Amino acid sequence: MNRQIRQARDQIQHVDAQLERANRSHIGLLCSLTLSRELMAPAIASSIAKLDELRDQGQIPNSTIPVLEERLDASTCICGEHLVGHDSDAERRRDHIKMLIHDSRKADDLQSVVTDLYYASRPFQLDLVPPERTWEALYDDIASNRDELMKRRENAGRVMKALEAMVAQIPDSDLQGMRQTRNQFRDQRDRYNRDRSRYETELSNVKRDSAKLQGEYRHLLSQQERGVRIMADLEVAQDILTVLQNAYRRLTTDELEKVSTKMNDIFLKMIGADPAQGAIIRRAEITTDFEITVYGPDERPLNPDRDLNGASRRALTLAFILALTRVSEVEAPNVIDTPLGMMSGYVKSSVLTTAIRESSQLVLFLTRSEIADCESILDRDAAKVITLTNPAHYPTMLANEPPTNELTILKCTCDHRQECNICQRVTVVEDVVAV
Amino acid sequence: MPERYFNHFANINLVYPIDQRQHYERYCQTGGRSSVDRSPFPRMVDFWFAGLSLAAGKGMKPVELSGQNTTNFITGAIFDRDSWRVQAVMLAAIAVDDNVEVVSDPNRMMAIANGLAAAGIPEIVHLLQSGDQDPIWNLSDALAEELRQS
Repeated sequence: MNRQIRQARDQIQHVDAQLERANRSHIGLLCSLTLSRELMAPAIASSIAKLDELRDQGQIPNSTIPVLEERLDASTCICGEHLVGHDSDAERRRDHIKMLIHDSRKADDLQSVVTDLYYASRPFQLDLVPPERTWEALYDDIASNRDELMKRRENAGRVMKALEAMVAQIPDSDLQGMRQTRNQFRDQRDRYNRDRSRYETELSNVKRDSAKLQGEYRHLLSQQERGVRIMADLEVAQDILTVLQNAYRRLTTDELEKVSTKMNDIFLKMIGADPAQGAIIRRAEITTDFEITVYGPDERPLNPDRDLNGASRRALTLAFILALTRVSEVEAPNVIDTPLGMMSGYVKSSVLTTAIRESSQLVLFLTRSEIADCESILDRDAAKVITLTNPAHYPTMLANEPPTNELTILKCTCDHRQECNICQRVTVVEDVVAV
Repeated sequence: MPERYFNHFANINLVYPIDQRQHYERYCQTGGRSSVDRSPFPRMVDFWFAGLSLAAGKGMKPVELSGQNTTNFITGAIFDRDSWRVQAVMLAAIAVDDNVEVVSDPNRMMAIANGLAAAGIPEIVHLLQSGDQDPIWNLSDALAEELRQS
């Protein structure tokens, strides 16, 4: 029924629009040239008759000028005679037309206005109007159209009223209930629309937050990966630190004590000191500050620089090196340059013997004075002996001229008991002998 | 020949007698009236011209408006929208004066037109009111009958 009502309403609007157009046509007809032409027909006929009379009298000449000028431009006259050529007739005709044009130009303003009116009055000539364009014919069309449209409008109105009557016959209670239902559905629709709008807004916000959080997540993830790498590096560094700290602690405690004890044993053997027999030097140790300290009777500390002689200081140094090598259990050669300098007697022999015993492989650079009184030890323990000679000592210390003048060291296979042209010395043997 | 047009009346007033004001106001939509059937003339000049046309056609004598109370409601420039009315006024003036020389005097022509309109308006009003239909139908049917008989 709603659809029918809507269709009826559309039909009414459509017919009303057509009626509006028909009304405009109707009032346009009352204002038209057609009506005035027919109402004024007697007066117009009278006036046009006067204009025709003037035209017949040649008093409306202005139209002649264009026609005459046109003829002059053409090759023939209105009457068909030739206007071109050099014959006298053509020239006469042309002169006559020019004279007519000249006369016509004398027309005054009145003639001009009348001429304009004469030609403009053609639309007013009733006899030129076709029958179907007369006012009455046009009015009949419009009136018929309006009547038809009015009937259609009335029919549409009746249909509308019939539909309204059908609506009116629906019980009020049903209408009321339907209206309530409609209102409820409208409320529900509005509510859903509001919810949808709200959810769309929330969804938009959530999407925006999600995009932002995803960006933060990626940033944090990269930071975490970097953190994991840093933590791994830190753990490794801490492990290394722990190892180094443990090693350092062991070095500064257990190993230091071992080295200190071993150094003391070697040192006392080297210098032949026996605390039980009241020796002045009772013991030596390495303090926790890595200072080598020597003690005399009653634990009185001795200053190694002032209270020890050169042989004891050198022995203390060698004892420390040998103890360090022994405790560290490193299998490596000990290379010592002139270790027996400033030593003699028991101490020299003891230092050499102890050094040989405590070393895995001992390489000594000894002068001939250091070798003195130790030849038997070398005979027994030296595996290989060679002699190195500085040629620059010639002729002050070397007996023979070296085979070269270059700054170099000459080697020969002479041992501590032999000499040759290279290593033979002129005075007391002072050349360095490597064992 | 092309139609020529020059508005001789562009600066001349169209007038109506004051005692016809009520008719102009009633039957013209200019005053805000929108009912086509009861006010069938869109503008005053349309109503004025209908009176002129009817009076000219019936050979009425123009009302002499000089010395009367009149209202200038617009100038002849309004004819620019319907140029045929210029020629219609001129033809009517020639018919009234029975002399074509009147066309050289636009003021005279407009005086004749105003007089004809003033003469014709009462007849138009009569036609509008003569019948039991709305004015537009009364007038249209009457004009149709008038033209049929002429």
